[in-house]
Amino acid sequence: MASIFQCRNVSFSYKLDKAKVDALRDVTIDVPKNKIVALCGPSGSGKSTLLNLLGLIEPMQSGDILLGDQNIGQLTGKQSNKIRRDKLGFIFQNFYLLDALKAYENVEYFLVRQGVHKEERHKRVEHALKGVGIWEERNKLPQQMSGGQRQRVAIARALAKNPEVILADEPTASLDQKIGREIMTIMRKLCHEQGVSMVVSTHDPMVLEFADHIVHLMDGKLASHQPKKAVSNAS
Amino acid sequence: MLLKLAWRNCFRNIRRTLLMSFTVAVGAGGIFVFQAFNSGIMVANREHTVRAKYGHGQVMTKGYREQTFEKPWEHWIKESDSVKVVLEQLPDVVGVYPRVNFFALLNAGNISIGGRGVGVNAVEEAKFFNKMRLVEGEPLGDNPDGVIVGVGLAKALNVKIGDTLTVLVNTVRGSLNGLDFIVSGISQVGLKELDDSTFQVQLSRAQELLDTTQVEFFAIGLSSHLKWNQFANAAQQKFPELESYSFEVIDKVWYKQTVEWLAEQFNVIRFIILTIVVLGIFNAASTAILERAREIGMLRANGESSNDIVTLLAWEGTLVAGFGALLGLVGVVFFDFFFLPKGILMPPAPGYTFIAPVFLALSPWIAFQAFTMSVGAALGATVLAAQKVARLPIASALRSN
Repeated sequence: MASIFQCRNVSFSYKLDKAKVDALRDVTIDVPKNKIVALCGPSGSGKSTLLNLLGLIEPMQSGDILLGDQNIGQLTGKQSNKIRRDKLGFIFQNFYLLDALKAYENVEYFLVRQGVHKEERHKRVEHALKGVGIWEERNKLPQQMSGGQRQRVAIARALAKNPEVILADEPTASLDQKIGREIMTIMRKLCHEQGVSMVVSTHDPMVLEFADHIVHLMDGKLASHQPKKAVSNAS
Repeated sequence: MLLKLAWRNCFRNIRRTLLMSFTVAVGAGGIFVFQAFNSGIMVANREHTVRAKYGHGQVMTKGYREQTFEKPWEHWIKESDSVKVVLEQLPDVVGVYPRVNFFALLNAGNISIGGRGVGVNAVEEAKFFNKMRLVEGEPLGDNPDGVIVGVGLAKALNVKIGDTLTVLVNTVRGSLNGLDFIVSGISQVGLKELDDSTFQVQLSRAQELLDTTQVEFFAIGLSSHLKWNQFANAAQQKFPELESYSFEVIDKVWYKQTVEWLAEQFNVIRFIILTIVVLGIFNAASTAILERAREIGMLRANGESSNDIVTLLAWEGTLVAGFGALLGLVGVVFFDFFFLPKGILMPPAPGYTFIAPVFLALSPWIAFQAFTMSVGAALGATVLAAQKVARLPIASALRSN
C-alpha cells in the first residue's frame, strides 16, 4: 500500500525549564495514502507532537519523515511554507477561523494566497461549503456561528486547498458527541470522495470508529499500528 | 486579500484601534502644531527683520561690509540714481531703497546724546517697511523736517512729538554741520540697542547734513525671500563692482541663529514626540498581537511566512496610524481655525522688547511631514511588535494562551 508519510526512527524532545522531556522515541510508521489514520493515546503520549512533525510545524530533531519522496527534515523555511500552503490542510480543535472574515472569505483566503484564479476559487469554495452543508451560512462571521458550524467551515477551508493530506488535531474535542459524529461523518465522506489522506489525533473513542488505520502511542513510543477492519455503522 | 484582512482586523477591537489611533493622532498633531508654531515664529521673525529693518537684502560696494574705513563715504555708491533704475528692472524686485547711515550728536534742550541716523526715502519705504512700529506720532511721509526717534533714545533725550531736535554731524569733508528737525514719531523696532540709539530722517536731509549726493547702500525689497539668490546673481552680473548680502547674513545674530536654534529645539521635541508614539504604539500593538498568537500560528501552519505575517500586521498598523494621523492633523486645523484666529500672544523673544502674536504656519508640506513621521513611527513600532510573534515557532504560537 502506498504511503503519504514514512516516518523512520523519529524522536523528539521538549525542554521544560531545565528538564528534557522525550515526547517521541524512535517512532517508525507508514501513513497509508487515501486513508483516515487515527493517532490515539493518553495525554502526553506524543500524538500531537507526531502530528505537528507531519505538518512541518515542529522542526525535526532526529530520524526522517518522508512526505511522498521529500524528506521534510531537509526542507528550507520557504519550501516548508510552500508545502504547508499547497499540500497540507489543517483542522484544529479550536477551529482558528479568522474572526474578521466571513465563512466564505475564510475558505477563500488561502486559495487567494495560493494564487488560485477567481472563478476556480469560487467553484472550490462553493463546493467545499456545500460539501460540509454550510453554504447558506457563507456570509456569517465566525462569532455568529455555533461551534459545529465553525468546525465545518474549518473543514471546508482545509479541503478547498485540495491538499494531499489533512492533519486534524482533536477536531471533535470542542464539540458535543452528536455534532462531533456529524463532523467526522462529513470528513470521512469528503476525504474518500476527494481521495485525500487524513491523519487525526484524538482521544475520543468515537473518532476511532471512522478511522481506517489506528496508531496507538504510549509514552512517546509506538504501541500498535493496525488497519481497522470494521468501520462504525455510523458512517 | 491581505489588505482586506488587515482592514477588517482594524474593526475587531474598536476600543484598541481608537486608542492606537488616538496615540498617533496626538503624535501627529503634536508634531504638526509644534512645527507650524516654529515655522510661524520663523516667518514672523523673518518678516519683522525684512520689513522693519533690512529689506530682503542690501547692495553696497564690494568689500564695504567686511572692512572698516577711516572715511567710509569714499566707498559709497556713486551715480546711485542710475544704479537704482537698473536694479528696479531686475525680476521680482518690488523696491530699491537708497539709504545712508551716519553718526550724529543729538541735542534737545540741555541734553546731548550720540545717536545713529538713517537717511531714507520715507514715502517710498512706507509701503515695504510696514512692520516698523510707531508707538507715538506719525510716519515721516514727505515731511522734510521730520525725524522718527527710537523709543529709548526719545526717552533719554526727553523729547515728545512736536519737539525740536538738533542733529549735528561731521560732513564728508570734515566740517561740522547741523540741522533742526521736528520729532514726528517715536518708533520701536523691538531691539533695545537699536531703539536706544537710532533715528530716521529723509535721505535728502541726511545727504544735505553729510554734504554728499552718494548713498551708502540700497535696501532691496523682493516679491519673496526665496528670490534673493536669483536677484543677487542678476545684480552681480549688472554691477560687478557691487556686492549683495541677504538679510540672513546681515542679521546673522538675530535671525539666522534664532532660526537655527529653533530648528534644533524642534528636532529634540520631535524626537521626544516620536519616541512617545513608538512606545505607545509598541505597547498597544504588542498586546494586540500577542493576543492573536494562535491565529497567527494557524496562518503560518497554512503556509504563510513570517514576512507575510509581518506584512499583514504592518498593513494594520499603517491603516490605524494613517487614520490617527489624519485625525490629528484635521484636529489641529480645526483648533487653529476656531481657537487661534488671533494667533498665540508670545512674550518678547530674547533681545526683543515687545510681545507679538505668533500664528501657526500650517502648510501642506508641514502636514505631510507630520503625517509621514508619525505613521512611520507607528509602522516601525508595529513591525517591531509583530516580529516577535511572527518569528515564534508555529507550534508555540498555536499553544499560546
